[in-house]
Amino acid sequence: MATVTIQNLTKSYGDHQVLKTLDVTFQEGEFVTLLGPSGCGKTTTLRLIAGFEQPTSGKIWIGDALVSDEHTLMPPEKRDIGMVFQSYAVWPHMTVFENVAYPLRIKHVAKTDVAERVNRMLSVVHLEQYAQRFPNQLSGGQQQRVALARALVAEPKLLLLDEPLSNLDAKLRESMRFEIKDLAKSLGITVVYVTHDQSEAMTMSDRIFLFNNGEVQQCGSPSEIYNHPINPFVADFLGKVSFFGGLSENGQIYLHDWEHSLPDPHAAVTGAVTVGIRPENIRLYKGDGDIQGTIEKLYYLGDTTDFRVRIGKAEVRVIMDGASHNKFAAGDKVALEIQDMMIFPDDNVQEQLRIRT
Amino acid sequence: MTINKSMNGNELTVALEGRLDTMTAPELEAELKNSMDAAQSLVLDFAKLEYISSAGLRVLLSAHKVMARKDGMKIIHVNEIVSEVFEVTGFADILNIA
Repeated sequence: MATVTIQNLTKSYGDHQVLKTLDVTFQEGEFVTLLGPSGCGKTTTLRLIAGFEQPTSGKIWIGDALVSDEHTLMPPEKRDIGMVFQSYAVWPHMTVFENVAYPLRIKHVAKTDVAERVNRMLSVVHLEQYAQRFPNQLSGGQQQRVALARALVAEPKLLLLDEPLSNLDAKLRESMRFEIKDLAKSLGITVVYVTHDQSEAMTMSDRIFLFNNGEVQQCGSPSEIYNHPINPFVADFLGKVSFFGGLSENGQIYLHDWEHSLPDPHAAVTGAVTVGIRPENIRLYKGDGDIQGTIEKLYYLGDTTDFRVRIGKAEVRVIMDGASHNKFAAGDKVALEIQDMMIFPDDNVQEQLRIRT
Repeated sequence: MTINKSMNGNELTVALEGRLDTMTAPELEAELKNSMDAAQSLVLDFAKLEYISSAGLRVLLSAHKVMARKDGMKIIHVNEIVSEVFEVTGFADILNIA
């Protein structure tokens, strides 16, 4: 296990700065996800940690070893790391056993030890009965497990994964997430995982680092970032959210399109604001209430019902359970209860959200 | 990594200097893609190649498959480190290493 310490790290290609001053530490045994849209800097960060790129400035330590700065670049094979890529890339001409044995043979590990360690790792990834099969005899998920076993068999200090599940179908992606997480926990290994998929990040991570435009927008546990996003980009990237412009004064927020005020007991921000409301944080009821609206559309998705409710000039999205589909219909007048909302100062919200549109 | 190419009749010789790894493999792949069409045979000179990773091996395998349909590919002047990688990965049985 190792910590990863990154200090004042930047990376530019010519005039184009892809990573802007990263200062973070990943703790021993932590499962950290670098999350963000395409081009945000997350893969560049992973490649810098791996030693595939050299910093423009700044330093990287793995454990106590300085592995990278603008003058030093320890080669990847000397960093004691395991890596799994999107393409997993197992050798087609070698058996599962030989694929997993490869890192140990390159390190001249004794034959008896190779057999023991490979068999143990195959057992950990539940492939022990496939040891003599060739990759083309395996499913995509099984091949990915071979790649994982190969990355872990040499007991590296650090495991780096670059979108390893992107080539798998949705159901397999979901099950492999839990497998990777459980495996990492059981081995106690420090993991840095890159993905653009927020569901992967939410289910697997001890901490998420959400990148945009080469900078970390926010880092924290999944629940911290989801429930307390620091800006509209973070709120919008993780989960669903609707934004409404308003004016906050005297403990009330007047939402222009709703033509209605909501109480704001904290009143942390005053003046022009943007209010973000997650659709699962609104409840609909029949009858009267402080906030009234009309259901314009509803969509049944099995486990949930997705509503569009007209309030004033606004169309408000509400998500409730699947059974709600039988309780409401288009045209119903309803009362809304807002259970939680996020309030942001209204500066450059559209610019922040632009990357997502 | 530095890549030096030369044509002698229909034989393309590509000499590599440095490391063939995840960073540099795409560059070699692109160079070979551009040049293999015009060649009937390919010689890869590894006299100054210090290190090869799995990414590099994949590029070699792809080139081998293409050139196998013509007069083939061979690799010359392989050092001990690279030779060991070829042995352990079974590439020594697949590739023509002189």
